[in-house]
Amino acid sequence: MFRSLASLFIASCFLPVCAQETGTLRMLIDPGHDFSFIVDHKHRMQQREVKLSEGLHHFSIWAPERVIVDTTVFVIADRTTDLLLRLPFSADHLEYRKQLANYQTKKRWVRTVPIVAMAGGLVWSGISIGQYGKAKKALDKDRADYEINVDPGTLSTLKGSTIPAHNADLKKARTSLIGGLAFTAIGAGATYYLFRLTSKWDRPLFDDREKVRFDGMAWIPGAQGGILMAGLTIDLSRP
Amino acid sequence: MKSNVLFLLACAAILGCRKHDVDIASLNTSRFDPDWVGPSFMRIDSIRTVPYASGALHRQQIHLHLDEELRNVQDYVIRVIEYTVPDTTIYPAVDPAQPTVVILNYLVQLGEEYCYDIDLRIGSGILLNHRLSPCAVAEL
Repeated sequence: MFRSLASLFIASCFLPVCAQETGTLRMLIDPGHDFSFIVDHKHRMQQREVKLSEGLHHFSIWAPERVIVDTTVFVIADRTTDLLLRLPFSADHLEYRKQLANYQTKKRWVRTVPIVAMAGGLVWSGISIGQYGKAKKALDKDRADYEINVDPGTLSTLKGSTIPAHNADLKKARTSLIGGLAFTAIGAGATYYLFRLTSKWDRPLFDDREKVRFDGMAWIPGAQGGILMAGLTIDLSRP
Repeated sequence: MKSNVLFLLACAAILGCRKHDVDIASLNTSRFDPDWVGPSFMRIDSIRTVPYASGALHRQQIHLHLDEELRNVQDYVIRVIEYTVPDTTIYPAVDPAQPTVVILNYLVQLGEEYCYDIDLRIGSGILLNHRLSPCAVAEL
């Protein structure tokens, strides 16, 4: 009695399987990786090939940053069918990309301008130091000439025009140097301040609402009516 | 703290730059400078009155000592102006090998005082501030 019951049970388990013939569906989806799909509103899968019973099947296909595409495919028994599909980017993702590009451009400019100003100040200071050194060297030569020269005319020219001109050059170079150093200091201060400021700016975050929608689409039927699969996403990444 | 130190160093560097200027007012250490204020290249050794032309006339002899620093310069002129007879200018012969120049005034009267302006010109006739103004009574 027991043996006959067991045989009946085993036969009942294999009966539906043997009755339905299956076909293979090959998923050729853009993006080529990291996509998921739900077959017939029930089974969530993440693979490139799936064996299904012959007949019409509904697919909801989704990938991160893309929209959910719903389609139906007829699977033919004992044959491999290709499903070729490109998932378009979601409007939220396009908007996020735009906001991110704006954020990065703005941040780059705000950080680059004071750095360029500081670099300009450094170049300005460098040129001024060169000019200052040249004027100082000329004055040192004038001083040496004054000590060794015995021609009063030359000495008068030195004191009357040459040295005042070189003094003026030195003063001009010094003023320029002070300007260059001040500009560099302001540039450095602005760089420090703006780096700190921009580091506190909030980076745009991508809220993938398509994912939320997709996560809530799986329905697992059960004896008491089934289970609706819902997903909760917590973004733990630091901006 | 570090930024304060850098700021102070920058200030010190900028202030230090001021020392490189040449102060023209204090530039007067060359004795060939027309603005020279100090000891002259020339020094009166002696002023004597001596007879000549068998004692009928007298002349005054000023012995002028020249510093070696001046004698190393080739191109200089000593000019002597005597004021008793207007516009009497004497250009004494200068031998660079000799440290002394003798200035001769042939027209002196015994008992009279004679004053001289002795100045020094170098190069293109630029007057140096090395003037001497001696006075002496012609007496034997």
